Amino acid sequence: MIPFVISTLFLLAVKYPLSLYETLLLFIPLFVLLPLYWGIGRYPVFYFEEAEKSIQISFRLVLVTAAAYIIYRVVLGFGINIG
Amino acid sequence: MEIEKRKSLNIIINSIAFYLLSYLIVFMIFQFTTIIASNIFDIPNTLYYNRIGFNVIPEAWTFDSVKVIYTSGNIILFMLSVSFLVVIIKALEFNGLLRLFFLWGFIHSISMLFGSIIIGAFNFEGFGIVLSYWYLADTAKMLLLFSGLLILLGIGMAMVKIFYFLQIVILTSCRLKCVRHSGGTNL
Repeated sequence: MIPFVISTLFLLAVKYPLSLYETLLLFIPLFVLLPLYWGIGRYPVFYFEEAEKSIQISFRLVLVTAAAYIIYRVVLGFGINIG
Repeated sequence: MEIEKRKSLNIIINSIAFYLLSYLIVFMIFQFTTIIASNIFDIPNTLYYNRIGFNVIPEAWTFDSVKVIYTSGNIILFMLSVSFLVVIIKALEFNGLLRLFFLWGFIHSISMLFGSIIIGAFNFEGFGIVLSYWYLADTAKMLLLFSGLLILLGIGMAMVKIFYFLQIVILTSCRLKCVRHSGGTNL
């Protein structure tokens, strides 16, 4: 849920100004994510003997995402005539 | 399952990056499909970051062009969501964070698909224009709205198992085989 909330706020800021249609469309994933909270508690907790992973931030992924959004916002901010 | 705060933060940052990246890819595929469909009807357009501007007078629109242009993106979204779902299910047995991309991609594509129907049912924008051109009655639009919401909630309920197993597989070194051995649960 945290990635959804932060990402939606980010998208609202990046895509400003948005129509009502587009704004509501950004909140629709909430209807897919909410049932996860109701359902996930029904599963038992598994314990593993194996050692847990050390998960690191993927800086390459973060940079690629940031670069993609900068290009998207700057280039499409001017608009591209097609056809 | 106990995980440290630092690890949670790393997972959240990676997940946000995948969420945003998958949204951008799904959104751009949707926009380009609409543009290709509009080019078929010789409608010039301008692609902006938040909309597509169709550079024609209102009289240039025909029934067919409206229906094809505003429906083409949704057809591609359906195909994308099916493809992402297949990849998610196939990739459950492998390791790696890339599965998050497909998971969020599936959620984006399915949300955009049903979202456009739900919001279009009461808003004259996007897929709502097609619904209006179909001369759908208000009752039918309401039925579409509530059916769409129920389908989305149903998809959410069906995704619980996949989310649960992905959470286990991502947080521990175990792969699906370990989950099967420890819990006896099959996907």
